[in-house]
Amino acid sequence: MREYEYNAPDSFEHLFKLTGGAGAEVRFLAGGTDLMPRISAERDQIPYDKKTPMRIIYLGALGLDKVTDGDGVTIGALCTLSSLLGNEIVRSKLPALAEAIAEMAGLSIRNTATIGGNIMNASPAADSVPSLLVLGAEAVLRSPSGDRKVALSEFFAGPGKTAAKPDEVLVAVNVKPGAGGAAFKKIGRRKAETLSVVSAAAYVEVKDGAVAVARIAVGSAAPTVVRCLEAEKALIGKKISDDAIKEASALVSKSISPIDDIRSTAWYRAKVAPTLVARALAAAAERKGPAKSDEPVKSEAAGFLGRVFGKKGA
Amino acid sequence: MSKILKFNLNGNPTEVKSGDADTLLEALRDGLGLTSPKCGCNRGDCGSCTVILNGDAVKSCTVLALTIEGKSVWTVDGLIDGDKLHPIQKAFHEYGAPQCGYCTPGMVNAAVAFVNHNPSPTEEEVKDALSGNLCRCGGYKKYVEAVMAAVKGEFGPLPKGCDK
Amino acid sequence: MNSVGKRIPRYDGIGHVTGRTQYVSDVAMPDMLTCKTLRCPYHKARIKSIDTAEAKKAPGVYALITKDDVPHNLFAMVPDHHVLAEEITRYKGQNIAAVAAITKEAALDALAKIKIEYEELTPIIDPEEAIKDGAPQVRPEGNNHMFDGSSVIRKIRRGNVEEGFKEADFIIEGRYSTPSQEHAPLETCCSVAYVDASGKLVIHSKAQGLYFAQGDLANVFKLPLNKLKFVGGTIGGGFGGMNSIHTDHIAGLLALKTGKPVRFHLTREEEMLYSTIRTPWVFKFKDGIRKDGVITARRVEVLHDCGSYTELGLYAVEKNANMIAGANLIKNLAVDSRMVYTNKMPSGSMRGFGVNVGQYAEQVQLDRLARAVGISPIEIRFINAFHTGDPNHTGNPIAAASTIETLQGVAAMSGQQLSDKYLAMSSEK
Repeated sequence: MREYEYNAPDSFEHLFKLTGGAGAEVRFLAGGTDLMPRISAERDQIPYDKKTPMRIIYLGALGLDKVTDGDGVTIGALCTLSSLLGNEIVRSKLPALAEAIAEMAGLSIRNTATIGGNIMNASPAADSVPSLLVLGAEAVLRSPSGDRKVALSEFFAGPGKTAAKPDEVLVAVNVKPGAGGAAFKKIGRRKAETLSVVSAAAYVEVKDGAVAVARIAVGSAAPTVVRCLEAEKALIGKKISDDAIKEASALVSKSISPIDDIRSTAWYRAKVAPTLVARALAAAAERKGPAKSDEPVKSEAAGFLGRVFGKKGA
Repeated sequence: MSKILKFNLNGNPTEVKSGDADTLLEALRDGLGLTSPKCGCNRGDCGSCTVILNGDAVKSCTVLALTIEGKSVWTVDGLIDGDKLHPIQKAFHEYGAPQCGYCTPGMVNAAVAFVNHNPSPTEEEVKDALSGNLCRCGGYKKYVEAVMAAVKGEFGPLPKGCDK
Repeated sequence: MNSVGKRIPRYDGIGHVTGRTQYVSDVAMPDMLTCKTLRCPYHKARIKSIDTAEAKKAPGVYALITKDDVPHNLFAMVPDHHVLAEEITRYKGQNIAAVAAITKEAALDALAKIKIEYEELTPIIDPEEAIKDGAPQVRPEGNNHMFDGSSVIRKIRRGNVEEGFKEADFIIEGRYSTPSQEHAPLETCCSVAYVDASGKLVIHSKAQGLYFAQGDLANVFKLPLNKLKFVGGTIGGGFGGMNSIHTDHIAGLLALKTGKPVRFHLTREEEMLYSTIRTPWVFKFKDGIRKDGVITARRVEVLHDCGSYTELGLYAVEKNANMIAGANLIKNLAVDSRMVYTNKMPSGSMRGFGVNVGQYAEQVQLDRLARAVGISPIEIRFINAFHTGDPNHTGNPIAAASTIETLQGVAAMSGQQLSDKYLAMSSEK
């Protein structure tokens, strides 16, 4: 049976000592909702291959669970999904992210799972990612040589693969919401506790009656969440209309490469992705950018915020 | 490897020896012999192992035990005051919500943590709060009805939190 | 009448809501060992050699057993299933060896040390392929064999279907299939077995039929019934899946071998992949129907994918044959219901097994008949409904038919207007 070694460093100095050592597979632990089931599954198998020990580094003692609003919104990697749903800054400035989180898993998983974990798992079905992509988010990676920022659009290399080097740990995501509006749509096999069959997010910024900036991202339809550049281009300079949205969203098929898997078929995903994108675009165009901090949260947002049990107004 | 984990269980300071990759569910069931959290899937899907961690419902099989050092855990065992059931427990019993009962402790914990935060929820919110708890007997409707009855005060006032 | 119409709390409800109810997987005993098994990784294979010497010496191991350690290596409702695999394994996940050790980790580490050489054999997975001539044989008896020693098909013959088809205005054919389904009870299969102070083997079991299991396993252990005690109780769901033995046999053998309490608790993965399931069925209908909606003849061919061992397959086919023609009086009827072996986990019982899968097919077929004739789906059911005193499909008179009254109730509840003719109908002719 493989050996596991648990560490909970309370400083980055301590953390980087642990990542430096050889002879162990280093795994960062945040909420654990993905990693723990994987470890438990491994521990249930007959260990035919001798595996190197796993060094589990828990990131919960590093104070990475804060949301700050300064140079954009900075979300600590260890913020749980529930805490973000209840966070005033996220609710008012990043409603498309809150919308995505409200659709993720169920309450008891959202209470444990973190945004950093959702990003670093690099699943094509990660529901926080499409919204973050269209909002132009950057990942903040820390290593012994300092911090570096990587645009999330450059971050994912394939299922489970990211641009982070082995000694880099995700400490935050930074989002500078523009003047436009963004929205997220998802289709799952059931209403709650389900991974996306397809997900889509869109960001639309209108200037002088015409689309000035458009960003579209689709999840669960390629090896990573993907931006749909052709569809985005088709919108630029256009007036938002049903026809313009339909025309642009039809181009989504040029950017995706869906497969058959346990959740759905390539055929269905290819059919439904443009529809979801069209809905996301329409919703994004309706939403006029982030609310100012002194504005009350709009009733439109209150529907999904009803899912923030007990953290209302927190 | 294993370490000594110190935390607060149902209001009592508790110590248990826990493996470096053990889940909170293993620490409770195997380490402490507390069998009310059930193991249905051990993969974070079924919710039978739901407990209340620092006030929030969590699936204990997705939590690495050693990460809860110094935190507080409540289970159904701690919600009873002598012979007096928590209003949620009473409601589940009176409404006949449990069938085989295996999902029930997790349902109770999920519902209690939820009503502690949100004492006047809508039915949709209750459904969402229990969405992480599977019941293979198909008894969802009565669980939701029972929570709604409990928050309306049908089984006495709801305590403010887990601490009695 | 103190309880009728009132809400009566369950006798065990308090235990459930307080977490005090003890399920089999909650039973813990001092010194209890954990059991894990080595399962075949192939759909079909020949075990050429197996060497357990090193595994037996692994740290923490108290016993390791293979087929040679089983007093009588056959069990199940139809006892044709091996407790631990003989030379040929017939489904992926079939148990080959079992170990009892101080921890789960020690048990799994020991299993890794078993040296085993397989010859992978050609499996057959598709039931429709399995009945064809020249298909790879799942069992030496053939793929289409019934262990009651009589027929390989359950047949029903009434009237003359060929004559009936001649009477018909339309001939409607339909093929229907159902997939497999796992019971997925929240508590996975679990047994805790020990030898008590008087030398009696005690098994805490999830079995639905404790006495079925006791009789079956008394043979396996070669123990008289008074030396074998089953403890049932509250279980975390069964849904039919606990009619078959999944863990009791192996836990019992290891308890006898070690003299210590042994727990064998399946993981969710094992439960999903290797325990019995509702297996796939294929139904082929050929119906003759007159313009007035009367079914003049019906031929049904049924194929039950039984997996690699009989379990309750025989019984399922029998129930299916009796019920497949539905609640309709059909004067000319031919039913051929048969089971076929494939290299999959055995078929077990599950919630109306054999009957409801057939009714799905039959009800869809009825709707198609109604469309062909141009009448409403509910009308065709009234026209052909059984009445009290009619012979059922096997010829026995029906004592109290209720099809018509049920249909009237369905129409009322679904807001469907019925003509006076159907409102006036009654099962009592």
